Amino acid sequence: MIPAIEVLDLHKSFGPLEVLKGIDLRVMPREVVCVIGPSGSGKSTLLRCINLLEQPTSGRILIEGDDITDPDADVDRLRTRIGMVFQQFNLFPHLDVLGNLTIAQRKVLRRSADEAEEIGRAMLERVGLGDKVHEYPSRLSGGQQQRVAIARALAMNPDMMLFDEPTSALDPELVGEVLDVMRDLVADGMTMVVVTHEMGFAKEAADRVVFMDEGVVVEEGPPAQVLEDPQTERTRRFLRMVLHT
Amino acid sequence: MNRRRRQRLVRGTLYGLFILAVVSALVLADWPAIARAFANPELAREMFPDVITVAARNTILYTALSFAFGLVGGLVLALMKISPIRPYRWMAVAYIELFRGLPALVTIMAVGFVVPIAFDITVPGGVLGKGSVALGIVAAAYMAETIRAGIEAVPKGQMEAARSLGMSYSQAMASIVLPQAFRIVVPPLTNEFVLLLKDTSLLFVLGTTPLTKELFKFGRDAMSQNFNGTPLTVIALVYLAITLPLTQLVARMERRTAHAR
Ligand SMILES: Nc1ncnc2c1ncn2[C@@H]1O[C@H](COP(=O)(O)OP(=O)(O)O)[C@@H](O)[C@H]1O
Ligand SMILES: [Mg+2]
Repeated sequence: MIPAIEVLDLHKSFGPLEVLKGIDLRVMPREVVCVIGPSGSGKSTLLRCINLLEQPTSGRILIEGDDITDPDADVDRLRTRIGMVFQQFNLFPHLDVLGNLTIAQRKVLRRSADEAEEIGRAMLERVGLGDKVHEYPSRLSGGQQQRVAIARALAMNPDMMLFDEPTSALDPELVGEVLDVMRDLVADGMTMVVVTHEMGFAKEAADRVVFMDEGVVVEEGPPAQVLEDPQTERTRRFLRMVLHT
Repeated sequence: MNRRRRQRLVRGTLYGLFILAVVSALVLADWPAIARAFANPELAREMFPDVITVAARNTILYTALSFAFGLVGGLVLALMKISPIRPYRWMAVAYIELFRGLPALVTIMAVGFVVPIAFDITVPGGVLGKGSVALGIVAAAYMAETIRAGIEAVPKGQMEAARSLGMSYSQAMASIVLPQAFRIVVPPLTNEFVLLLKDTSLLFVLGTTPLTKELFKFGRDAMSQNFNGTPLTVIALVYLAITLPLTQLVARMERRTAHAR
């Protein structure tokens, strides 16, 4: 079986600062991988390299076998297979909710207005926001905005989804509704890479947990192992810190 | 004397001097002479309806066309200036610095008289064509900086979210970033419109005919025909009738965005 994502010896520097120091990561179709690690360890940079929002300094990244780092790759096309959800939602404030969901369908996938709208409405139902079709993002709560952002990514029918701390910008009481939507995606068999500090979610939903620190993968394995019986001192120290705050 | 009392005293003295200056100007002015030279109702009446139907109309026409050229040029320059391609950035910078550094009158003269001689081409459309191309060239340099600032005020996450959905750079720019940038730059661009409107008064150097006169030239000709300043008063009022609503609109828009923050 071809891996959904294959990261091979990925290095990324910003000027003199080497942020990723040789990352290897393989994500199989329908697999859910949670990435944990202290702030500044390079988790966002890894995620952003996978869909080439950051240009890797060296190394290769294969999306379903296609090399997205190849200079001749059709990056825009490959990106449509990868949905991305950001910490800050990044909804388009000048478009209403349905507009947010249809614009890329129409411009990129060349779907008709009717078809895009139908799919958009279906995705909003799926995240429980079927009644917010014509609201503007600024009138939604953070949790609702993030669910719209997930629906917007899903409307492109991606094969996999990347989440970069999707609940970190939310008030605590709004975290649950977003995690519920993500659990539904897991149940539907979506391939997912989730950077998160929600250890509960990682424990129950992940097939595999990857612990990163200072630009390298320190430890990876099933959640029961990495989260409950960590093999390295660095992992143990990190978990003590997260669980005690 | 403590600080506050001294401040109050200084302020009071300044107000007093100001009022004294205004009052003495009002008292010392030769009102009958002013009325004769600048407010002759007979002469003012004679200027209508042409001051509106020809002169003001031309002024607005020149302004609108210059603004359109400036907007298109400014957008292109702004996109060049933020382009990752270095020569584009250099060209944009050179253009912007050149035309912001020259008096508008020099550019107008160049388009009107130098270009036809140097390249044997004349901008078509007479004063309207030459004048609005020249003013558009100047306006583009100013608008480029305004539009660039507007584009950079849109959070980077907007471009990234659009790209992550598979949009190309130009698709994301056109349908996500620019619509938000334009909302931000409507007030400064309206100010630019007002500046342009006033700059159309320079276009008389291109040599206007009775039908292509703009407000300033119209007023100046009427003044020299009648040896009287009343036309100046009339065109000043017409200029204000156009510009004041616009500047008020900008003030209101800026108050509204200040509230929204
Ligand atoms: N565009 C950038 N330019 C310079 N440094 C950056 C940039 N993006 C991230 N970094 C740096 O890279 C390191 C890793 O950042 P990041 O991937 O965001 O970490 P994490 O998501 O794990 O908190 C940090 O030290 C950060 O300051
Ligand atoms: Mg991060």
